[in-house]
Amino acid sequence: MRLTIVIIIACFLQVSASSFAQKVTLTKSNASLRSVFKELNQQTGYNFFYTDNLLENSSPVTINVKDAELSAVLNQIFAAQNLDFVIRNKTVVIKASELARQEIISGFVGDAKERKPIPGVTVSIKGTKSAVQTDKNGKFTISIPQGATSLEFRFIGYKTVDVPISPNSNYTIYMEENQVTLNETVITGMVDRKVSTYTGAAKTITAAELKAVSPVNIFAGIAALDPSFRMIPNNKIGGNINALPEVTMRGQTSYPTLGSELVGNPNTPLFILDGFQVSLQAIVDLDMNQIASVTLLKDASATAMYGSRGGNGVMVVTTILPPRGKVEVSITNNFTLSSPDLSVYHMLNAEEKLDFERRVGFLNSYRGQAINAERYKAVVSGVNTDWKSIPVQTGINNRTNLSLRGGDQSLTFNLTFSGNLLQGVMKEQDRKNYSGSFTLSYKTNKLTFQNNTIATQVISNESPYGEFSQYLDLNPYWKPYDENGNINKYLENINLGFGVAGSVVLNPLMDINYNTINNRNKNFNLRNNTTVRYDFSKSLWFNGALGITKVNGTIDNFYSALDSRFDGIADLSARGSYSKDNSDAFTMDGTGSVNYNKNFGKHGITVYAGFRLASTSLNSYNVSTQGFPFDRLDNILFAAQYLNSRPTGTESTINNLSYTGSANYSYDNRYFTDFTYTRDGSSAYGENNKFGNFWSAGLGWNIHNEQFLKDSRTINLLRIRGSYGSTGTSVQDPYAAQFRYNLGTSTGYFGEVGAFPGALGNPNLSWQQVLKSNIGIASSFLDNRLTFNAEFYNEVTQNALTTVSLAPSTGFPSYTENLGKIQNKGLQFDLGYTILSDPRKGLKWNVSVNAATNKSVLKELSGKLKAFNAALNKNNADQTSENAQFIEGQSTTAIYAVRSLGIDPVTGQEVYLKADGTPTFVWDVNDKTYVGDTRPKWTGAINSNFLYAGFALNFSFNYNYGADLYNTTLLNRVEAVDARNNVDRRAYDLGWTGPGSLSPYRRITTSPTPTKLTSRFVQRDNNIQLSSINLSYQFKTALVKKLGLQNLSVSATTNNLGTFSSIEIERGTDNPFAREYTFGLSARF
Amino acid sequence: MKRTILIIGILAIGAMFSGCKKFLDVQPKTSLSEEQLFTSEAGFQQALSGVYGQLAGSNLYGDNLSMGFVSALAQNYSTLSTSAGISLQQTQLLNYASTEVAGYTNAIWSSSYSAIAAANKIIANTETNRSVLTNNSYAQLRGEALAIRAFIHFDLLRMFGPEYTAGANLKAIPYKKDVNENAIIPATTADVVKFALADLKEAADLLLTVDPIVTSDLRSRRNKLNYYGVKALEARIRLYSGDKSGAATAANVVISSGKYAFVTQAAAGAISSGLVVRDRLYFNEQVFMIRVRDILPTVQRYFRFRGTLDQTLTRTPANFATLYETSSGGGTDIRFVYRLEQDGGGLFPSKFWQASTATTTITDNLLDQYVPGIRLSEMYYILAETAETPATGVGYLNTVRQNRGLSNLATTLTATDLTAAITKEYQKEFYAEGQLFFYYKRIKALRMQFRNINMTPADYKLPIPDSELQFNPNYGN
Repeated sequence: MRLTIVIIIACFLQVSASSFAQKVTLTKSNASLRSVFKELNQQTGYNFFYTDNLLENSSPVTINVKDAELSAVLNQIFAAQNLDFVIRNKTVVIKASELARQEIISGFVGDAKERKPIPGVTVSIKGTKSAVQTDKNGKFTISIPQGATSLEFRFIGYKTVDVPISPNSNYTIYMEENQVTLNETVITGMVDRKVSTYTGAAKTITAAELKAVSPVNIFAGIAALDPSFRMIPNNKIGGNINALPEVTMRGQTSYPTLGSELVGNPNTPLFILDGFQVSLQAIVDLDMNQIASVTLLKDASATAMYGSRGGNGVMVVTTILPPRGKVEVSITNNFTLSSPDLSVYHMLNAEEKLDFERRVGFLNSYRGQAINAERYKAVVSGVNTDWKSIPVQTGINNRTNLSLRGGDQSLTFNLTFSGNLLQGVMKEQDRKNYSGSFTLSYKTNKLTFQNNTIATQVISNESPYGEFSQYLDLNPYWKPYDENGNINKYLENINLGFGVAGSVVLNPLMDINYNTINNRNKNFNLRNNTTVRYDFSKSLWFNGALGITKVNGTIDNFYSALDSRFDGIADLSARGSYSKDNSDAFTMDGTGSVNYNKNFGKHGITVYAGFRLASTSLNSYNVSTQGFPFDRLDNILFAAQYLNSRPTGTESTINNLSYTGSANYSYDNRYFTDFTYTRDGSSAYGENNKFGNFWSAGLGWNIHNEQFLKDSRTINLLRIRGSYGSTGTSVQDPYAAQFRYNLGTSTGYFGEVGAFPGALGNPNLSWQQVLKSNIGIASSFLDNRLTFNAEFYNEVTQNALTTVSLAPSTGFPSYTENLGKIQNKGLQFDLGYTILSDPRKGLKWNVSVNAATNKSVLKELSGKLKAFNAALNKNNADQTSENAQFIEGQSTTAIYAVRSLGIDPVTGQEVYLKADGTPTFVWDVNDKTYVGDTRPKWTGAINSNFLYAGFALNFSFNYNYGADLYNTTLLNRVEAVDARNNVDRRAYDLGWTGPGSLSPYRRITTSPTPTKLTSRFVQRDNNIQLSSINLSYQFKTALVKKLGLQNLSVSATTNNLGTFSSIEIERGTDNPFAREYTFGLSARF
Repeated sequence: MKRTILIIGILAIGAMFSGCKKFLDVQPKTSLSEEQLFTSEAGFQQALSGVYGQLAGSNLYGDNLSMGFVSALAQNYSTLSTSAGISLQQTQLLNYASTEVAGYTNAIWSSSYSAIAAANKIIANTETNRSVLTNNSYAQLRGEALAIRAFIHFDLLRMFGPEYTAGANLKAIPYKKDVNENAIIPATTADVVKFALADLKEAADLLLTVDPIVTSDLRSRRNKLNYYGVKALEARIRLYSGDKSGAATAANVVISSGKYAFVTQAAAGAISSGLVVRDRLYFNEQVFMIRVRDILPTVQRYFRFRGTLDQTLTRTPANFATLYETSSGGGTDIRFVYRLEQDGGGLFPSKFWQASTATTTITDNLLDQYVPGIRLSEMYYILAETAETPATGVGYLNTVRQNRGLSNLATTLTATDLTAAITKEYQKEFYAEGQLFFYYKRIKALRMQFRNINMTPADYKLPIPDSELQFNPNYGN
């Protein structure tokens, strides 16, 4: 055997030694070996020597080569044959291959640090599917087929090792632990930077980290992992799957929108998907299985290259790239049950409600008693309807992703289909998302070309049941259905006669019967991104990219003529309505850049220069019609007439042009600095300010690379960095800067076309400049077991866009101006500790806690905002619900109310504190003062990640500390209740009941007076939410291989399982919040 | 290869720089920018039509400054029911602190100034884009825009400024000559008059040579602020500021032009084919009138029977008898005989009753859809008021009276009697037309007809809207 090996090696050596000048071009399909030899003989002049019976069992040849070396061609041909060959003096000698050709390699795998064996390491032969695992002593044995070049050693938690197969090799491998996996580079969306010498505040999150926290909601996952990223809770929309979340990074850089001066949400960060700007909706609809990483860019160093777009922070998402030289099929399925969280609604039952009505005083009249008698009958007969459970459901969601990827070293592809079928927690609320994408990548040694096409179709429907909260109002002694299960038209229809008013209550479920289209949203999105990279040399390369996106959306609303909203309308042609909203968006985004990256001894330089041209246009129109005689005819063409005489709509185009330059210099990996300059122009700016300049400068110091710390085992990483610079945000109306003339029939005169000025354009209008300063620290201690990162920032929006009221004598009521100042100051940190780490056993337990605090302060206000405050107070002398106010020096999210001393036990009246501190019974709008802030003082998450032998268990808690909330549940369902409707349990005691009674609430009566805006209902909302528990298992390779798979994992996750709060409040008024239970299965072939 | 790439790169970047300014210049598709509009004469014309369109709107002469708000101030209508759909009750009571009046004054103020801003844009562009205009169109467009600016400012002054003799040097209203976000210091009453006269002087000089009405009596020019309209307005302003001789000179230009003839009895009383033919507006007497395209709903709401009588704008038959002095010879007044009509059991002022005439095209001299701006009769009243002797004055007044079917007044009338006669003429002639209140203000009348409370100077000065006071820091004393 030894001899054989030697001979074979000799053969190989010979082959590789003789370099043929001959190039072979050969295209054959299922050709006989003989014919191939003939062809080769003609091309190269080499003779082939063989006996006929030798070729009897040969298999047909399929080959396609161009200008290849003969040896390579022969190797390829013989790889699939039981034959061998030797080349001598321009003659190829064919001989039978020997059975003992397969070599057996055995060896040992151990831990590089502890020199102890690692069991379960996957040892595979590169380029083939054959693989084995090390035994408990770290030993392995594998048979090597001919042609195999290297072995790959792979184990979770360790760096993958490639070992070339060579004679006399010593196959004792020591694997090194993988400390930092993906976090070595920061993906800024324009240029990748080494994290070790980057001065920007950026956080990179891998797809695995994200999915471990939240497999279905990307934003929830990010919020748990980075506390500066915040989903602003919205109690109204709750867990509505069709509502866009409001997200912010760090704080609010803009004034709230009061008019049309700002388009969209002005505080939303910029989203970059694979290098191109996309909408928040595109990220929401993105299949999480496609995500490779998410990077949050926060400070000036990191965001200044985005110029006027980066002021709110940037979220860079990259998607999975097809692997080279492998073909694989992967399938992922997530099955999610989302159940409505009804634990926060505590309503009275039928019996209690009736008793409550009696004690409130509804029975003090003949009418009241008569009605009560009817209701009592119902209660006795056993009616106790749980109304809150009627409009809700447990949503069944399924997301499937199927992808086929692979290719060879130069051409790779990725074909993906995914379907995400969601059901909301409100009945018939749904969202269906289908997408397909195809990525093709071609790479030669200098040129890389990649094209990515993604088509997404989303169809969503709102629940026809309407607002959830209206069902909470309904009394439990009412019956929605009759004995046969049909919907009752009336919940109560009591006719008392004798001129006494009866009680008639319509059943809201009646409208559900009719054919309704409630906000059916169809959205088709087609995106094509092309990137080209040319590597001029190892250190210099050029990049070009072009992205084109087309979005087409329609929103339909249809209400049947029978619907209760048309009650009382006799005209048939006015009953039933259909409105259709059609929108078209087109975006073109092109970039080009030059990159230079080189190290000169201890000096490292990275330079980036690029330009960007982008154009976004949006067209939309809305047509409303009415008059639908028959409710099954839900097509707009059946309309009898238009609702309004003309269609409405918008049109806008914004062109952007920017130049960016950025440079990084590092010395000895110890000192480093970053500079960025961006010149950004937009058509939305005024003509005097078409271009804005943005810049940043940063400095950093890797203290751990200094001599005195270099070999420290206690301090492994200690980096401080700081940056300062200007970025911007600009989300104003695209034409606000221009002086516009409107032409229409209404502006005409005497049959002539007339043009009249629309609005006063502001030729100086520009971006909002956000000056950001940031100091950050990154550190790790104790053999990298303890990590600590902190960022402190101060961001000042210098010239916030706001509407300025003008004296009407200017001819215009208002115009948009850069005026006003907002400051965001904050601190965030995260602390991580590895409690257990034994990578040899696959054991690892990490816990981390993160926290963030942010203060948004209105520093300067425009006259319009001040006037808004004044008008608000003047026009609402009796305020019953909280309303936004803008006061200089206060938080943007402050709550203003009249301070309260509680309920006077003697009179039952509320005692207020006047502005000067004297108590009074009289509520006065001028006594309103700052009583709290809805923004938590601290917010963050606690995460625990436990890995053992393929199992992973992940916990994540979110917490909010120090927020104040105006408790609307107390207001609307406990105190100022309409006692005719159902109420919260806490209202059962009726509040203050008489002199001497101590209660935090006023008395509930049959004719309640509204409760004015009072500090009594401002409560401290400290809460902890068990945002996720995730358990997953990665199957052992051996088992997986037996099934013909490469990889198989299963997971189970639950999201929003429970919330522990210092206050009791109904969360989700229009739509309840959802608890999600997800089961996931992922397989790769 | 390397060099080629470099050159291509440099060229590409160079091309970008040169084209970038244009790339960032995006024009919306649903409106026009100032630059685009004023690149042609047609654009100027459209801008000017836009200003007239604004004047014709219900906030200004389409309603508030003609038959509506200012007529209610002048007590042209009886007390109105609170339940009515027409909310002029507080106006009629001169309750200026009411939100109702504030609503009207706000609308009048802001609409007036937006029309002024539009006119100012035209005036400015006739200079900056002079090259796209012929000499004739330059003169006409600029002349009209200047005249409009004076016209609107003067009416604002008559409403919101103090009475002239007592308040000539008091802050009145801003006289805006440019378009920007800055609120300017309000001009004094005397200054507003001065500015307006200066604008009118330039306008008259420009229009005299080019306005077709001067040479060819083009009827359609009466819908625009034409040359004679400018002179008539000048007469009105000069009289307001006490410049009697100047007023008379300007009024004489209008009268002596011979373009305007009094309505004939036949036309005013025509009944042959019903409402269509009857000339209730005295069309040929209009020196300047404003065409209000959608006047019909307003007229229907104000002056036609709508279920109950208290929902409309009118006075009792007895009041009308008083107004037109039927007991002392006024019964033959064509304004009384042909301009009060029965509808649903009530008597209505029918000056604006204008049946729609579907067959006629828009350029025809329709009798409907017009609101008078300046009438020929006012020129005679001005001459009567500014005449050297009462006898001459009576002569001018009698010209009007004859044409209205009234007997001549004696030429022996005293000056006081003449003034009283002129007042009566104003009351009769401008009923529901909006000039009467300003007349009362000018002569500082102690009483308005049909109102039994004495007038104070404050009653004659409508309050400047709050929004102006709040955002114009120059209004503070």
